[in-house]
Amino acid sequence: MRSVFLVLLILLSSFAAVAHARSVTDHNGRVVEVPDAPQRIVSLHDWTLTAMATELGAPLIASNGRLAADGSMFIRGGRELFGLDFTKVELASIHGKPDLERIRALRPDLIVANAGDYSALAEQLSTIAPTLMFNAENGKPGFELYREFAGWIGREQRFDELQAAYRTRIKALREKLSGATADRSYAAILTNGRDGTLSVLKEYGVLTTVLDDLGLQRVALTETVPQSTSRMTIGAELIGELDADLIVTSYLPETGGTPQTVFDDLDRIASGYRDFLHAYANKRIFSFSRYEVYPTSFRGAGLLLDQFEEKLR
Amino acid sequence: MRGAIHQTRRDLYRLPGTARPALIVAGLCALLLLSAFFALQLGSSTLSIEDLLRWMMPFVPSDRETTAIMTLRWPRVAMAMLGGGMIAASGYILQVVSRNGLADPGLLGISQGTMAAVVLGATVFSVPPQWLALAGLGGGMATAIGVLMLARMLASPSGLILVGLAVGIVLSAMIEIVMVQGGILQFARWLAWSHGSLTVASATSVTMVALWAVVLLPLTLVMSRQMMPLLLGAEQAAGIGASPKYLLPLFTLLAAALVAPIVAAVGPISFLGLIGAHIARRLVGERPGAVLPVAMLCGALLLLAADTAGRTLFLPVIVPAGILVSVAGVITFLIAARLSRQVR
Repeated sequence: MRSVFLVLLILLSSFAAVAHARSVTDHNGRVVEVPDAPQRIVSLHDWTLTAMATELGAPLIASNGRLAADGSMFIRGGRELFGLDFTKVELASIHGKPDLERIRALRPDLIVANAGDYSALAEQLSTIAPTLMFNAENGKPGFELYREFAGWIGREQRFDELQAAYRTRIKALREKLSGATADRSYAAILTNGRDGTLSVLKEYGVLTTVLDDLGLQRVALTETVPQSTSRMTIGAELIGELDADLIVTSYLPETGGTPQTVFDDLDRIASGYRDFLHAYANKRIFSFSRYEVYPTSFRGAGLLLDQFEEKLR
Repeated sequence: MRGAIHQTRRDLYRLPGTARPALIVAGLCALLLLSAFFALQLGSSTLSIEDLLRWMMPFVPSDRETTAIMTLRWPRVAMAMLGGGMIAASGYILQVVSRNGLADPGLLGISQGTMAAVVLGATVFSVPPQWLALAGLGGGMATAIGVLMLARMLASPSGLILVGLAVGIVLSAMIEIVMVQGGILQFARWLAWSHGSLTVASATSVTMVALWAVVLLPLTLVMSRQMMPLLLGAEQAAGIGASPKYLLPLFTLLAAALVAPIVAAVGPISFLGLIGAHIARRLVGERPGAVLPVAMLCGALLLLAADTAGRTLFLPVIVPAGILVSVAGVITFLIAARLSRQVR
């Protein structure tokens, strides 16, 4: 009888172990054992991971933050989209200045970090908690990455609910704006005023996702962006290749950027663009706050759809 | 001392009192141990001296909290001590080889050569991490030899620095092109690494650096005797029976080998080689046998101080040691120069 009881106990423990841990392959190709339903998540990238975890209602206990010019700290993207600040979650580290001891003191059961800044720290972070590396710019569409992330933290169901609502809104808007979007092309760019270059964006948060879903076609140059990346830097002489019906870009308010920045930059980078870019002549160059369009979130997508509904009417 | 190393035959062959270098080495060792102790105790998480002592005692079980903190803290302390010593030794060797007191792995382009090899190895040729130091060694050595040959053609002590800076700029530009081509992820990784932060030090990387140090540091000390004739210049060294033809490339290789694993592990730490060797010469004169151990200890102390300050003084911001080491190095340099003047 005792041996039967022992076997049952072992079997039950194995089932419990299976229920509480699963293997996840992160964007660096690392296979990590993570809790099935993590309870103390620390995010080390504010405007991708923190924003997504917050929208999914995940138990996020801390996020990295950034230093503002006045010395205060803020959660880029999370502040603008969800009103998130450091009264609601703890500070994990300042962006680009990781403090491993501070992260450890938060006692996370799962750490999610962006591969660009934290790959070199994977070994150290893994001594604190299971750590998953996320690459927001590996060339995959924004919502595909978002769903992967939702799976990592056990929130696929919430993701599917949000996506269903988004699709309903897209469907309605496509019908409403069909005259303004059908057979129209778009180019998503960033202007780099400092070095006189342009970035062609293949995938850029909700900015490209929303335009694709509205049925606009990308300019051919976008197809030359390497498969494993989301953007490509080009010289200003190629600006003619970006002559789409619609040109979209974004500005970063914390560095003094405004909707006017793109025009100032283009005057410096490619003076004369006003004479040959049809989007300029048709008043179809739109610039949006990067806080809202770079994070992949359904909240940001909704705000962007509101603006397109207004601008493309 | 600025520019070329000035040395007379009388200075070279005068036996200095052995007590002063020995005392300075002993003092620096004590200071380094004390600094290491406090570096282990200080950080974002508070740790009592009792807990730290218990953790340090062999065969005495330490609590889980302390062990977890020390898992993150000891590798960077060990890396600072080993890395600082190796970079300072490399800087001093390059100053002797080039007969230029301004030589430094960063100023001569060796750090950039190492970085270029590491970057190309990791991104273009997918070299495994454990082989990156060797790739860096090849890059650093090739750069050092190239810079020395080009400078010799210019036949001017200041020419070496100019050639080194020019080569360094070209290599830095090459690295940037490779990183930009690799997309924003690769560029972000490069940016984080290029700051020279000891946060990336791990048990694995410290073990790798320690293996290099166990071989190279004693070898450097043993070979320091061979450096003495080189201080006179190649022709005079050959005149007293030395073989500068073999010694110069050998020491250049040694200097590159000392700096390669550190750059591969934590990124470039500029100016440390320059300042560590300067302070050492101020403290113990010009005999390489005395200067080298003191330079190593000074380098270790400087990097340890910079890293400890960077992760404790400006919280919640962590300042990379590579950025602070210039500031800490200059301050230490000024203090040492003043103390040295008072002693003399």
